[in-house]
Amino acid sequence: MRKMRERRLQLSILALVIAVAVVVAGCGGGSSDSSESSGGEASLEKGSTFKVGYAASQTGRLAIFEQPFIKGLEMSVDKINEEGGIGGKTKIELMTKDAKSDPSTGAVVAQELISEGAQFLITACDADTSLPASQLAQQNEIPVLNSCGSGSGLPAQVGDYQFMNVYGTEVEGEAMAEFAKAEGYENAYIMTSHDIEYTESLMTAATNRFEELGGKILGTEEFKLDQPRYTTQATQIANGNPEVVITSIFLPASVTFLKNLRAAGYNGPVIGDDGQEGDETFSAGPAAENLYVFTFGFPSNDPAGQALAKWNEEYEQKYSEPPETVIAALGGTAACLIDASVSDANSTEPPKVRDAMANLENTPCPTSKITYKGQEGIPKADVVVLKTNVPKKQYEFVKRFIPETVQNG
Amino acid sequence: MSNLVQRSRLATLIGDRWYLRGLLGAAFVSLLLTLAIVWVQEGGSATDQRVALTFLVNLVAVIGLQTFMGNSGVISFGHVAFIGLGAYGSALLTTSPATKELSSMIPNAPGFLLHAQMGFLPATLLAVAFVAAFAGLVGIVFVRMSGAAAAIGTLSLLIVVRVVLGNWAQITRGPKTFFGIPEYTTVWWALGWAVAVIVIARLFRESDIGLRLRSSRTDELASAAVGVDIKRARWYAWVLSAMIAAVSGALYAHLILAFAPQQFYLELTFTLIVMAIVGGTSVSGAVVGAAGISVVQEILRRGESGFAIGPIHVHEAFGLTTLVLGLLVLATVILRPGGLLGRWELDELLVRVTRRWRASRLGRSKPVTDRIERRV
Repeated sequence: MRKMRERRLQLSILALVIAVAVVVAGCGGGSSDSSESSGGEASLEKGSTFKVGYAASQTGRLAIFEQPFIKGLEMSVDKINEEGGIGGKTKIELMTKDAKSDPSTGAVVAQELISEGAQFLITACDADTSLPASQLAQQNEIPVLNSCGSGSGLPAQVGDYQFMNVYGTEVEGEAMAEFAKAEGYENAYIMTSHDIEYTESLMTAATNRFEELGGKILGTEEFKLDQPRYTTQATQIANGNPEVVITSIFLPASVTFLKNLRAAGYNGPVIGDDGQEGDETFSAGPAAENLYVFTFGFPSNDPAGQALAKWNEEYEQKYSEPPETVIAALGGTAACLIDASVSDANSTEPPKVRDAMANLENTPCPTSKITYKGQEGIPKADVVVLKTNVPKKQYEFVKRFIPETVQNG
Repeated sequence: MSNLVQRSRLATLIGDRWYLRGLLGAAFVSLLLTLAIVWVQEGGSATDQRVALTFLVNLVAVIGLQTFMGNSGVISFGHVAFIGLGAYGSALLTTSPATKELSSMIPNAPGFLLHAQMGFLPATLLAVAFVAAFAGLVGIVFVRMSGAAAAIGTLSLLIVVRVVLGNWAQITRGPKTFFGIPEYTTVWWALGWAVAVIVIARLFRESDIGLRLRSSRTDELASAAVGVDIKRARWYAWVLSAMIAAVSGALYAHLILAFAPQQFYLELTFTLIVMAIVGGTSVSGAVVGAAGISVVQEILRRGESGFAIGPIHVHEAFGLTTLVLGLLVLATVILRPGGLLGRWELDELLVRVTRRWRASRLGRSKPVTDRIERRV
């Protein structure tokens, strides 16, 4: 009798375990996504708001780039709102939340912002970190702008709601090659690294474009990002005696590289990427002579430069210090792009804003005139070349141009 | 023993059948977990659901870590390496060949990896099998270590695996991001795996090997003296825990969809170890630790962008989460060195409470079995 009762209990326990398993398995089939859609008014009305969510990197490894971006963005958004909002009607409501430079936190924050009604998203200054957040935006049909990441593959991975704020490594690399060729240099030495996407794709694009234009690559040296010195590479390059050195090395390693390169006996021109633009470069002393760097904007004397000069002035008035990097002005450009897109769409509905944004043409923004039309999310914007002035410890404007590869599509 | 204290019918039934105790305990914990997740899915916002999903993936990883650390008492900083290998393994097998053949991806990978495209489950299982083989091999060394040697040894494993992943460009794309991974990890997949690994980890804990291993945790010399083959027991735990870690890696890969080797490094190790330390050494401890830390983390994250308590307005306090997590670990180590649950499972705690309650109803001050158990 007792044995039987035991057996029955035993069976019922097993049944319970199986039941739990079945419930769990059964639930697997019927998953449904119940994400709320964001609200939006039909056309711009006075007193309406446009909600912009920013999954920012206030902490973590990307914070160094995005903190200036946030300050620039906030300033420009405040200014638009003080002047009555977009088209004098719609105020921008900026919601910034820390995504900690982490992809999964980025997705959580993006979801939260979308649930809170964000009609536009801005994401981390890095394509890979942004990916999950960007895909959420795409699924919810909300335009998403990458703050300052240079991975130009993102729009292809995410879809038609993805926009980049900077033109990316491929365009920059091509621009470096075109500039070198235009300056009359016939041969070049490349200094690249396979450590990260940025350093590699920049130099791959530069190499291909330089050869395409009839230039000769004398050799390619490879560096590791954490090398204490670059004397081996510097000696190789100096022995090759090229007319120009093109490199994707960035601060602070670039300072050591420049010193090593000059010590090895090469005093010719060096063309560096946007990662070399910074006051730290001048700590290389005379080794920083004859260095060209590429960047996104500069307060030069032409109209585009004057727009940035004016923006920088407003920045200094607000924060009582000049912007530390051009990335701050990219924040201003982000606000400018939102303003122009919503205004052109004459609506705060995210899909209409996306369509308007994809059709922007020569929109004057703090860093440059921006065109998205026909560019599939990657902006057509000025590439700015600067040259070091070592005695004055500052950069001087050389030229701004749009690479032929971009102009010809 | 049943003569001394009146036992519940359930306790009598379970008796010495370890698998029943394990299954029942795992079912209890799984049920609580399932109810919590269903509750979030039904009543929570889309954000809550996303947090729950991340929690489940972390949970699988922590259970993996605890299967070795909790049972053996030997610390491991190396399990994130298995998570990384699981992630890469599953990503390689599921990503479409068209993506892998891109010149910027891994066009020179061996054919069987280049042309492979399978479903989520087979890819996960293959990745797990690979990690098991790898862990089995390196485990021969690590099971001989404990204390500081284990800490340094497992940390080196983490570094070695990271360096290999970061330089084997032919397969992993080197230090650059592996992308184009299909989005497979849903909350139900994650919950299913979480329940599965809870059952497996619990059964292992209750099994003979698990019991021997736990005895070696309490006293290595004494258990060796009564004939426990500690190295062998540790080796089983090491391989099983690596396999569970690989499962979490696969879930992680199909959740974040693009990653580079640095994602499987110290930061993730820290997060998982915090969860393990705060929770305790049991399987339920891993669940409680992962859930507790996830909830605290999420509350703090929401508080970071400013909140108001009555008239006091707190504005942006970024970095608060990391600070509080650090303090939490400190507090746990000082106040409850064994973690919130210590070495107990939730169901064991429940049994203890009911036994006390039954005993007090019968007029006894303390049940005998409870006293005996305490001395063990």
